[in-house]
Amino acid sequence: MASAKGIAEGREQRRGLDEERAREREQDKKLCEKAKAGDRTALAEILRKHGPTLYRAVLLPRLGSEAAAQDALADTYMRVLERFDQFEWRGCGVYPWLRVIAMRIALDMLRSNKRETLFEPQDLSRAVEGAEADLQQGLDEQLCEKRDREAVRAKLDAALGSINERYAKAIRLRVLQERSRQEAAELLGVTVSTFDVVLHRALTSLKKAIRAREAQP
Amino acid sequence: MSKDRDSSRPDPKAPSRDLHLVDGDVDAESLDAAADALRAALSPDEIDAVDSEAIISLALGTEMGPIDDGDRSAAEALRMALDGHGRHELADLAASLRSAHRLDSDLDAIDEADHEVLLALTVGDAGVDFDAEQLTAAAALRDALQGQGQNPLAEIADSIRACSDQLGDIDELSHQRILRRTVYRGGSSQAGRASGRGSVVATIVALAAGIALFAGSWQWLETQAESVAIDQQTLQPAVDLAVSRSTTDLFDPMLPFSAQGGESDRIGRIVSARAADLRANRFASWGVR
Repeated sequence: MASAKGIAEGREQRRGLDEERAREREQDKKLCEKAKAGDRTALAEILRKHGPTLYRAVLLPRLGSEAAAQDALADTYMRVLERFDQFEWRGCGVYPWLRVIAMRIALDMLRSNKRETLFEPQDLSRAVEGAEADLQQGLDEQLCEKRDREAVRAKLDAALGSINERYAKAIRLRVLQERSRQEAAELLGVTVSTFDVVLHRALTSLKKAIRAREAQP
Repeated sequence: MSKDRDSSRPDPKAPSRDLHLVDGDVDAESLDAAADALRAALSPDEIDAVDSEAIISLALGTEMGPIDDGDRSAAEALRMALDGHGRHELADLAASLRSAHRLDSDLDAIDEADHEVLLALTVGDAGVDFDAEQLTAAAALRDALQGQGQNPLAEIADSIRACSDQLGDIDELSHQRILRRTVYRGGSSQAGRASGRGSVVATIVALAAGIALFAGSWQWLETQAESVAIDQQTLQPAVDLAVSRSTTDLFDPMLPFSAQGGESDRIGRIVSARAADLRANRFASWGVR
């Protein structure tokens, strides 16, 4: 009895979410029509809604620095402004179209950038192709974002999995978990000065591993 | 060394990937000798030094090979960059890893104010929402620029205006600001002492007195300035005044300012140079150089 009630509540919740999503989609459609007609306030509303997701899920992980990601977001907005008249409404909403533009901008920046990042231009080329396919298939914002997060997580895990486990641990402690040098050194059972050298070697090793994967066909 | 070895022992329950060639209580010297032997056997010409050390680490359960001065200085440079001092390619890589790792947290979400600036740059101010805090800050700056209250940004605006080679007669805005500072301040102190209907009368009287005093003083100053100017013209040849010029000669290309955060220093130098010119010109025109 209780489980039947739970199932019914679950269905009700899903229905509520679907209705909310449909309302949002309808709202997006109206905003897009206004923006295509030259209404910049409507365009700003669209970008205000989807920009933070583009920044967090697409640009920042792939470009690796806040400054670069903000530059890329600004370039994305400029390109959206230039080309919004070419946008055609699809059932999946406007986000997948914005995502393709953001990916292309990130790819251009990565090609011209000399910074060391987890992602290489080849990765971005593949990601752009994937994003274009997602757009054709009509994947909505939630699915696109989920794919991006999975791709980033897989890339990170693969990179750390390709180096000495102890080096990976040093990177996890200091870089990812942002523990203090003292704490990280203690957890690795070495002195702080030795930990500094371990971390340097760990990141050097990771850089080499990324380069090696990049060189693979 | 033995501490390193102990801490790197694998979990016995986990499937082992490590090749532990030595085990138990081995003294540090033996371990070093074993590491040297392995290092020689791995032929550094054929294998990268980092890989070599990683293999030694896996085999011996030790942290790494001997640390030399090169290792220490390289590690120090990386440590500095990770702490935010200077650039290092490996620190860039670390930042990239961190942003990938924090994908699900809100730590790296774009700042709302930064995002609004980007939107404003793209679609213009029409499409931008301003929150109450921004509107309050903007109102405070506007008032300060009009002479009501103080604001650090208004002070910067003043200093920029002072650098704009338009140091001439007092402009209307500044004049009003002086009037407010002098006349209104006097009025408010009078008003504080008075009360009821009397306060209105006292305020009006004080204002009128203040304005009359100021106007009288201004006229007297103008008269004095004219007479000084006439005296200067009759008694002396035209004074040699500093004229507006390029700021190039204020900076030594051999001593550049820092690329980041040096703007204030640059503006500060221009402002102090221009203020010195203005002061010198005033003294020169008064004949007291």
